[in-house]
Amino acid sequence: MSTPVATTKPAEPGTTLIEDSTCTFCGCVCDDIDITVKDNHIVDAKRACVLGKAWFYNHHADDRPSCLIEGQPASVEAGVERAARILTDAKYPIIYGLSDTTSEAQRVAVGIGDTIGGTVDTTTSVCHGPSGMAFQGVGEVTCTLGEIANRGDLIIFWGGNPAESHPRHFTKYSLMPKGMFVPNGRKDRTAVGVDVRKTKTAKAMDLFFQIKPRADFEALWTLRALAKGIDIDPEQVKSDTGIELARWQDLMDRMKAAKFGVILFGMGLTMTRGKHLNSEALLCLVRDMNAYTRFVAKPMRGHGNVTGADNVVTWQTGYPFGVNMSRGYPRFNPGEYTTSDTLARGEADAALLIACDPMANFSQPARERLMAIPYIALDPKDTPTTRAATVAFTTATYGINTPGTVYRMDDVPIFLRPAFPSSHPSDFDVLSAIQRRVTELKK
Amino acid sequence: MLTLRYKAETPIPVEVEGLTPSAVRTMPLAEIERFEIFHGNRKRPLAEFFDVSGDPSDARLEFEGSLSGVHWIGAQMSEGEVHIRGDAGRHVGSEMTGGTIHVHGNASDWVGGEMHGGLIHVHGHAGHLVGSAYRGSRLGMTGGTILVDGSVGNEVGLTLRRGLVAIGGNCGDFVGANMIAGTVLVFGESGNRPAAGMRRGTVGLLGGHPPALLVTFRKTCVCKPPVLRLALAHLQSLNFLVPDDCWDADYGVYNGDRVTVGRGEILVRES
Amino acid sequence: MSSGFFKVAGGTVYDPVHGINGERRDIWIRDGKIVDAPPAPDVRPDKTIDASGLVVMPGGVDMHCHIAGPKVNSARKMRPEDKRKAEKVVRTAGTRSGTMGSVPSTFATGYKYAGMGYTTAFDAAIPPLAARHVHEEFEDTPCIDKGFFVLMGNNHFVMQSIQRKEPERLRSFIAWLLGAAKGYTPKIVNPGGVEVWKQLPSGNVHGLDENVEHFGVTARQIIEQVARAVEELRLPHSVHLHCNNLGMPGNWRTTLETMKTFGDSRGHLSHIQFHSYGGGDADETTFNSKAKELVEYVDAHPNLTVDVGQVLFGETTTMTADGPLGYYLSNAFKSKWFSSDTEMESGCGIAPIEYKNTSLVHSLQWAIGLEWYLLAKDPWRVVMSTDHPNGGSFLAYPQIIQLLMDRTYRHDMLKQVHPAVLERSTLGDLTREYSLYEICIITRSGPARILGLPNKGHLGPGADADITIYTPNDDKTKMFEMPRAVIKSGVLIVDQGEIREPLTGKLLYVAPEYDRGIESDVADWFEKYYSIRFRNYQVPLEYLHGAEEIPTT
Repeated sequence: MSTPVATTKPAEPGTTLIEDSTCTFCGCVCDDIDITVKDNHIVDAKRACVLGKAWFYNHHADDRPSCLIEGQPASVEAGVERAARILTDAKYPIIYGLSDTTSEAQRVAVGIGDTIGGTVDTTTSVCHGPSGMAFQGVGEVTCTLGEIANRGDLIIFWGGNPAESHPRHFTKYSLMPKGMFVPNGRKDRTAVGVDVRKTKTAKAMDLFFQIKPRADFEALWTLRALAKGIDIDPEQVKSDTGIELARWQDLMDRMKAAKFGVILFGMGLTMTRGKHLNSEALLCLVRDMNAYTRFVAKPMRGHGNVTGADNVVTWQTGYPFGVNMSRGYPRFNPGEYTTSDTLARGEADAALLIACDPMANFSQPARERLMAIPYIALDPKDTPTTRAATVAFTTATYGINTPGTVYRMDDVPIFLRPAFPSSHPSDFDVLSAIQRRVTELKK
Repeated sequence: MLTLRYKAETPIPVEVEGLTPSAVRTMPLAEIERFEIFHGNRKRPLAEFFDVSGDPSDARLEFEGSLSGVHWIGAQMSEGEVHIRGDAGRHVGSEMTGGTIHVHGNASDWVGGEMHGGLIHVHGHAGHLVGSAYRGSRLGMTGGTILVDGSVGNEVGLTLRRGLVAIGGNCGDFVGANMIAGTVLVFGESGNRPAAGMRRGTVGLLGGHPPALLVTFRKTCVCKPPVLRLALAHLQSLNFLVPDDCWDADYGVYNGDRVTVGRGEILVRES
Repeated sequence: MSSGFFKVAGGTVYDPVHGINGERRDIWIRDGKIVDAPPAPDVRPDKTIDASGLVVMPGGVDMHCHIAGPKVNSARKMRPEDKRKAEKVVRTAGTRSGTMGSVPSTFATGYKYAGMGYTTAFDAAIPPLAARHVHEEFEDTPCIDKGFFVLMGNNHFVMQSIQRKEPERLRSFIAWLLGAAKGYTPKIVNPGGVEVWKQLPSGNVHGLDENVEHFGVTARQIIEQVARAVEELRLPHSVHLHCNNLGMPGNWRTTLETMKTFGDSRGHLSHIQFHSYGGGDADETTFNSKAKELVEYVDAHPNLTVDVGQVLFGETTTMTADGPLGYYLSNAFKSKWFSSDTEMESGCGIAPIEYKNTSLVHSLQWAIGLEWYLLAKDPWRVVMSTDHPNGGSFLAYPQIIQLLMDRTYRHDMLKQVHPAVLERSTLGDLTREYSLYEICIITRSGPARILGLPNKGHLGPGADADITIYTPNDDKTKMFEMPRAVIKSGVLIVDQGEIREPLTGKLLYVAPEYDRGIESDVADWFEKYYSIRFRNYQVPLEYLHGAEEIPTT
């Protein structure tokens, strides 16, 4: 976009320069990072934000074993064998994670789930799963990020803090770009924040609405009513949302006057009381607005390839997450087949965890169940989850060590340019080996 | 009466879809014992999990034991009676078209999911999504009656199209959300955002301490709605406990949800 | 000692490209291709299928369907309810599980096409920004060869080149873009209309000569110029066009004007049924059929080809790159609605729909599709499609065949639809019945020829060994629903309804020559407007597994 092209200096001797490399730390999936590699270490990541730099700089070749079985080093083959036996013995095996790996690896993982008659779920279910459910209820009006950059003139950030979670979003996509129909960039745009607290994002906004905690639904409902010109009680609006009706009316007037309005929303909606119905209220508002002007919504996806996980699971099974294949065919039911539920209720009897850390962030009953069952973990990092695994594989890091395809938060597929090789196998390699073995065992 | 005494102890879901009064009505016991059910991803014969006895020809099934891990009991049944003497799992009476189910204990989520007819009476508590649509469906429950004596979770009667749901205890958030028509009555207290997105139909909040309604509901009057008395009488005839003070109370009538076609009503007990 | 030959012996062969109309013939296969019979009479085939008494045709070719990519996948995601009660596709030792409904999952799509004797399918509308997504889904769509058409009718670079009156620049760009995406031909959907939709609420273009703001071009210019560029590039398939005003009463005039716009250039108009309506003023009660008038024009102009876009009654999902159309349909049917605008390139609209035989409009749509087949003089230029899933599922093709071959069946169905169909269309008067030869043309030989695929749609030496063997049955639906056997690339992949070998299938693409100078122009354009880097946009050949370039002519 309007970020200037770096003049490429020739690489210093002993270093390699990889231009237009992709960062997969967050859903921005910036593909304009120029990486300088020296001695299997990334020493420069031009244009990467603070999160991207941390992502690139903290990866070095290491000599940890690629496989541990019950904490002891083992060969990858032995690990695969043990993993395959755990998964085929199980009656309710679950496969979870998948948002920080390539779509090539995700495709194999879903295949394993199919072969073993297990349940496949991704980190979507603890993140924007509710938005996916809302989308199943009412649909969604959206666009790719370049449309926002070229047309968006009223940008609303709701329930998220992109200044800290997606640091280059403003610059690359949503506020700064000098677009075809917004040639003056930031000056042609009005930025609005809606959140329960004043974050770093709030400071970058032209208008900020600090709403009462857990009142997002009421705020969205107020806006829906105003869009339709419905008469509503100002006192109730104030008491429900913490904001005067007049301010909401002003916002609605601006929304209707916009040429291309955008609402980018985050966990503030999906993970607070109301969840998918909060997301649904927002998607309905945006749909309603299209009677008056062009308006789109976009969930701010977190991890680099969580969008890819949704896409892969959907095209292979028909459903985006929480997919059970116990009966030999896919069934979908969030709340029943989603991982926090299958673990917390003690239903899962084995697990294959890929690039995720439930031991660090799931509920106590879920963690207790995970401790009680045999499970396999694949991760480039050493985490509480890998440390308690029956079989732990240290795998190469996608995008740094391995090529592959990822999907940006707006479903645009981007290919990874790896910086340096790893001695560890990739997720794709390990999962493919497991897939081959479980297929043999299930014959 | 066919008795099925649950003898397994397993945390892994047991699914008994297809095991309905009609399905087994003319089966000899030996065949019923071989009836295939699912234990996780394994197909197993019924007898591995239940001791089977009695005679199914009167279309009455009695489940005994703690069946909170047994799911789809009575799903798609069309006739007969099912009694669960204990707790039940998820999807009790899902998509049923006729007959009666009594849960003499608690039930889990999705009681009567997309039900079309018949009666379900849960004598204990139930979970989320009682009498509701499954994700993505244009319509939810289209007929029948669900009674829960105890309390329930969120999204009771989600996208309800027709039918009656009565909750003796409390309900969670979003009761009657996206309702198209039909009636949901809550005798205890309700969580927030009742009837959000309601098109038509009635949600009754009879507990006396109602939550704040959404700003798109407008109070039109206070009265003693005759249709409510009829509903209460009907519930009583089904052996559902109707508190004495509901009959003659005053009810505020709130029309909405005006963000949609808004021809529904929430009745809020005022006295 | 293996001879390497596979023989399909003594079948009743239909091969319209070679004028073979139900003659008893042997077919010899080697290395995935159909070959001449070995000259030495003592050469034994390794494998023989005895096809005596069975009908043998080339594998089916679906030249217009929606089976992969972001639009299709969003429809899958959006409609869990569509699958919950639909047929279950159960995993077996050799095949993956899946879901059906109106938008099947990828493995199921491949198995079902193959199961019906289809061996090639083209996705009709892909924004090139999403090309990699399509290639990934295609890899998970087994048993069939695949390709896709690349959306260009609302592409900013295309419109700018036209506005600047630079046809060489346009031509080079089109060639570059096809090679970058590994696509097959330019696809134009509601030219200009989708760009206006992005600019204005309910925005659209309503005629060929309306100006598209900011770009200063008209639909007519877009169609004319792109069609000409395709001819100059000598692409195997013509430009593929979804006309403006789809679905509107009175749109037949737009369609006729559009047909005239092609001049001498080849042009393929897709799902023509949706563009054949008389009446006016957006008033559905005036709806009537103008199929006859349009068929006459197409018959008289051999540069034009169409696929029908047949409507079948029942529930399905509409999905189109025509963004404003999706909005219109979701409002008309009060259904959930998905819309996504792809920067610089295209739009998309998805809405569930139910076609009812009690509805005047739906009944007419059904009738108009059939009128097209039955009135057209040249079956080589009228291809069977349902615009899957917009008019109905591809699984309905056998039923369409029966409607065409069996006029009693057709008239029985006609009695069940809205009675106004009899006055507002000519279907009641049409007694024609298709022969097997003609069915073979409209389902394989014709589309293969129109697509410019030299090795598909026929059974002569050099053809890909894609062969379908049917058991004759008076019930044509049954006959075509369940072939006796299906051979793909010389491998028996389906045997009595069971998938034996779910091979991956090839990606068919074009890579026309172009002036490399265009690349710096395009790179600048990317720099200014795209949210992805120019270098990361193109799909290299190494990314694909099993691809075949179809040469320009």
